[in-house]
Amino acid sequence: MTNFPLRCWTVLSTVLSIGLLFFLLSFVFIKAQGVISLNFILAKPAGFPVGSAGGIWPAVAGSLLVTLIASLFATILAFFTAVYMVFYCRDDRIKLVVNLIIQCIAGIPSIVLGLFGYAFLVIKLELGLSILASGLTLAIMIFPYIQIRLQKLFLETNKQLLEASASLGINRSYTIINLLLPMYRKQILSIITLASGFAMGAAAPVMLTGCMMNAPVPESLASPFMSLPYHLYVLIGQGISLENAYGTAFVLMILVLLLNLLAAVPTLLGMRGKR
Amino acid sequence: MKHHLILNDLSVAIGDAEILKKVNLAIPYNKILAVIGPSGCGKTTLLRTLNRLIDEEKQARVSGEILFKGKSIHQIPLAKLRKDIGLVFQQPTPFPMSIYNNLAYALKYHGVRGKVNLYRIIEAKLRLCGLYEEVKDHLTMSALKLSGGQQQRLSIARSLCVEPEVLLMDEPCSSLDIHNTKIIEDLIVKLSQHYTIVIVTHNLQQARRIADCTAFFLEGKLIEMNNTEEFFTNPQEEETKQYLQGLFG
Repeated sequence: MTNFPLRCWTVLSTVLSIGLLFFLLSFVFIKAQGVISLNFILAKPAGFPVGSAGGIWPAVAGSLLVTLIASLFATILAFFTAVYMVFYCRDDRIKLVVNLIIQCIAGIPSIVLGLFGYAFLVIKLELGLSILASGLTLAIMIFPYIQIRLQKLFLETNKQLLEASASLGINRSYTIINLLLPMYRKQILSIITLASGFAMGAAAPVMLTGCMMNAPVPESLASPFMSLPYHLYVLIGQGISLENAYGTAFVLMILVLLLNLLAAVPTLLGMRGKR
Repeated sequence: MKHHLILNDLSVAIGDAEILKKVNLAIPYNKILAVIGPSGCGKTTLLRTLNRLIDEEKQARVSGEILFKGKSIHQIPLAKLRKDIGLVFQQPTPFPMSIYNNLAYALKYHGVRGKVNLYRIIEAKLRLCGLYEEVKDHLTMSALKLSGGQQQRLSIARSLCVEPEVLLMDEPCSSLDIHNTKIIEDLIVKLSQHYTIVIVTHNLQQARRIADCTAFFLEGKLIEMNNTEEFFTNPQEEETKQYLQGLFG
């Protein structure tokens, strides 16, 4: 067999995947160009039914805030779990079980997470329909995403660096905080940013836990809020305004895209530094 | 007390493999002991056992006794032991941070405070390792940008920062060229005025050039140890003779 067909197919696949992104973006943009304006982004939804006129500012702010909360909680949990798994846990059976559980969490359908968030966080813990409940539910969703990548990152650490540090009489905590954290700063930020993009686009976990059709920019962690994916869902699902739905979709895509680009910045800078 | 470190019937096994077998050895103060032997004879494991780095390995079992200044190393807190018995690796191990921070890293952990104090110690150790003049204007530069030989001297300087009494060196010159090897060898001889040095080497000539005593290991056993001149000119054991003649290893 010659190399040619396989090579062709790999190039074609790559071109197709890049093309798909551009097609999707331009398709949504063309459909949305009538409504996209600074005013659309910065105004409150208006009209009757609500959303048929006005803008999406509370949804933009709500999405950004709920993503921040989710990333914060998920990162703290994921970081320490990964550190435990790589640097402290010496029992292979425990490692196996924990890895299995984390993979199971990664496999939970997001609507089931939403249901859990509603039953446990909103009702049982009495958090109410709030941005905090939604943020925590999203945190559960992105936790495995961050944990698995951090664990892989830590596992790749050059063992000799750790031993060199240990040979200076230095304990693990100090080594982790003062050697590994600065060393992996860029990669960790990248992983968190990518996970944030994932959280920002999710509708199912937030729609049962605190997200509303119409709400102001949240004033506290206990306030309900609006989010872009849910707003989009309502605009289309209830046939309120297809054009505004495209506008919302475009803004959401740009935000997620920006987050992903942001995640790539450290790597790009690193590449320039190495040259 | 004549000896800095004394090993009594030291055996080490990792999993099912016996790496060191009933080693008895005494290492005198402020001398250079060269440990030689073919690959896989347990030289590196010996060093890793002396500062208990071997404990980090899950399957390692150590029996017998190691006395550091007459006291079992298991009675000394781990951090203190590793501070007193430093280890320099085969490959240079600069941390991915500035030259200054590489040296300040351990100093800060061990409680040295204040820029003036830190700088004073760092400058002294860099000078001792003959690196100060080369890097004094680039202390904020990443240590990864140094040459291999400079990185190894930085690794040694870093070990010296925490004021060890014994310095273990695991083939410190094996990744360096002749010029840098000479610099490190001179440094080791200079350091032996203040520190006890145990150096593992594959290079018999190196052992002969710098060591006060030489120990020969084969398949985990200490075959022979003697002062270097005697060791090379008049080896007592048949295995040693064969090894020195290059018949194996």
